[in-house]
Amino acid sequence: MIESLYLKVYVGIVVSHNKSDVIIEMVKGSQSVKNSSKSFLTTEVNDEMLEYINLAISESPFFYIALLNSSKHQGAIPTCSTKKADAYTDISTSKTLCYKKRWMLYASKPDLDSYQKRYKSFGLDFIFSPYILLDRFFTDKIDGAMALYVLVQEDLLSLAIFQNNELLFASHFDVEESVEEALISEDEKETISLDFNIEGEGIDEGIHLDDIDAIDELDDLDSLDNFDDIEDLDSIDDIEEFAEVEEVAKPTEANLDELESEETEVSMLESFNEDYQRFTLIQRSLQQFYADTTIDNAFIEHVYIADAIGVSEDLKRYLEEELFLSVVIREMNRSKELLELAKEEAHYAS
Amino acid sequence: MRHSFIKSRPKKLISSELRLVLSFFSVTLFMLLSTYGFLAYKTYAFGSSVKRYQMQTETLKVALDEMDVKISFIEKEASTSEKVFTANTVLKESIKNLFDLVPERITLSQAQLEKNALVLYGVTPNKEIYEFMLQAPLRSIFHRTYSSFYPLENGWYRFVSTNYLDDEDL
Repeated sequence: MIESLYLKVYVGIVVSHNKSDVIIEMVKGSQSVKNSSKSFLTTEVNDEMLEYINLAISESPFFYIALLNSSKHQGAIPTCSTKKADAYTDISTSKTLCYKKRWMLYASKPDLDSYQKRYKSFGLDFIFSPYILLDRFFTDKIDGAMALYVLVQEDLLSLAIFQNNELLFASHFDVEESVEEALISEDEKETISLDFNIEGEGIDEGIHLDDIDAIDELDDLDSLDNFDDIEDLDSIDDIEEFAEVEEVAKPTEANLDELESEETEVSMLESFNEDYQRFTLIQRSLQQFYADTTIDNAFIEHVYIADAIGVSEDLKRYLEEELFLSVVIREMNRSKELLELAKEEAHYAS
Repeated sequence: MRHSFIKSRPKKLISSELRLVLSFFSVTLFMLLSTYGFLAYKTYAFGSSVKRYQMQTETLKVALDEMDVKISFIEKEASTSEKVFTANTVLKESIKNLFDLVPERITLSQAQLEKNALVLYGVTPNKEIYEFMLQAPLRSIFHRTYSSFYPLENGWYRFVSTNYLDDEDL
């Protein structure tokens, strides 16, 4: 009762590989009183961040600090039973959370402890899994046919396959680390790929890692000019999805002019590289899903990408051209989504 | 629905310092109120005691008055008894004196003691003995003395002596 009379301060922290984004919203009753956000070039807590957050939380005794779990040791399992969960992954050192009474989220306990230790100067109230953000972000889509949902963050990739609101498969990657691993054990992967080709039921047999020459793709900057072709492809999809894609496509088109400068060229190269890495991981995950699934005629036609960083059009192109998937990219404001989640959670917590 | 891996910290409206101060204030306030309550109770108890004592005083006053009445009555009784006792003593003395007064040769047959009078009946061998031996002392005592004689067959006299004391001398 008294709580409703007080100002509530929600703080969202999103950590990526070299920076921390902090977003603050102050709410009184149901009205947002003040909004602010700031980026700090640290993944730890520096004095500037401490001051920024302390200043905000000193406004009210009812403050909630939420962190998006950016640990690589986390994921989701399509069951809430801990006994069955062991078949998917070892969760003995993880903290689990049954979500929607249907599937389980897990996160490494040591990582959660280290987060709490890292932010102990102001403390944490909530640590959320990126899968919850993904689920909430595509809540209008996941109750449909089987599709792949991907949350793209700077160095993290969270994939999930849903069918009629049921989680079928999930995997979580640290992009850089996973690609390095992939390069080291390329031979093993070839074997997996071969196995996959033998057992694979739904996937096009022509698509596997070896078919994609990454260097060729990266060098071939001219291919960026082929946006018209991609738009033609989009026109096949429904209008809504096309509109979503176009929003993403526009800034990329603007970037094309900047490609003329050498400096931008380097960053674009990095971006292509990262997108290719993401594509590889998506492809690998799909292969793994098709290999493991017990569902007959499992075939994924759509990919919904929650884009938190502004991926280049290449990822879409790779997925469309190489895997023949219909791709929908929706830009996601992670911090804002995190705050919304924190608001809901605070309602239950109080 | 719980979505977070960790539990939200409980939100406190007041800081620990403020809570300490408030707890001190509340303890002080509690002590003040309890002292006030104690004193109020004591005042009430004292007031009711005062009332009770006042009532007792009133009752005692009434009892005292009754006792005063009884005392005055007893005093009166005492004085009366004393008077009676004195009167009795006087009477006894008077009777004793009377009998001492009467000489051996005269015999009294009757004596009447009245308030201011003494009437004696008796027998005397002769009038002289009566006059000298009895009338003389009687005259010294009473203001008025009257004597009458009746001669008997043996020569003696029966006499009646009436003596009076005047009121003013009493």
